Amino acid sequence: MTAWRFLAVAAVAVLAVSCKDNGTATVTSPTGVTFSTEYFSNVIESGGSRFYSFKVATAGPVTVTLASITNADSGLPLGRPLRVGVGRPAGTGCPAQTSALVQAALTTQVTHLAPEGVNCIEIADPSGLPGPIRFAIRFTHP
Amino acid sequence: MTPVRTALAVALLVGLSACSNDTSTPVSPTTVPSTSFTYATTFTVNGAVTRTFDQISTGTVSMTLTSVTPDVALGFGVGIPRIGSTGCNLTRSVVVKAGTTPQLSLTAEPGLYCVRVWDPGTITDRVSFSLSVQHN
Repeated sequence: MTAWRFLAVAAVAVLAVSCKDNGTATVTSPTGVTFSTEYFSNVIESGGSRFYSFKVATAGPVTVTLASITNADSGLPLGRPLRVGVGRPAGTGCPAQTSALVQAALTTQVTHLAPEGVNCIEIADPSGLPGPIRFAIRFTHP
Repeated sequence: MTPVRTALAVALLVGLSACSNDTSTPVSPTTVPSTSFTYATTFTVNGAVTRTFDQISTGTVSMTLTSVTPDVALGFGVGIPRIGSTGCNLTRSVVVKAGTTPQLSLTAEPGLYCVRVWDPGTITDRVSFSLSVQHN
């Protein structure tokens, strides 16, 4: 291998390692699995929370996008974060196994490897945004 | 420059671009908008209008309010459609006058999205506008 070829290989290897996302799991979808897209939208009061249960047909990745956080009265976006989590319903709640504090975006913010059966998504306002707050979540699951 | 040197230079450029923390900077060719449409219509005082579009692949959605008649500021934004209604759950929005450069840009994964244009309290009669939307 010439010096230039060695440098090329080394540079690509270093870049591949250094560009890994911090704290973001890479999930490979099982082949042949059908994914469903669902929406969860509602209003929470300042400091409040809500959750939504859904059925996962086959264990696999659930991807969640908190697409909108707006003032429920004006409909205008709020540039503040809400906590979004995915877990399994327990009692009257949805204890999250994977969660993140995120602002509204149009890209996946939470990825959770969900078991087959009933799972849930919870959204909460931990910082007491001026409410009421309308949110809209789009998520996919197997 | 030999093919190997060229490959090294390209690898370094792509790698440096991909490592940028600036989310507004395209990080790969897939983020370059590949299609566009113009949303042009009218509405009245306190009014709002919405239309949807499909994003086929992950990339930048870039919007420019290219004309407003009369020349006033309007609000516009992008988000996901409200299920069962004609509204739009906004992700981001701005209130601006017509311009020539993108006024709102963000990255979006494949899916159905909406743009909404409204009166932020600036119009006194019917207004017409043109909004250019570039996306993938």
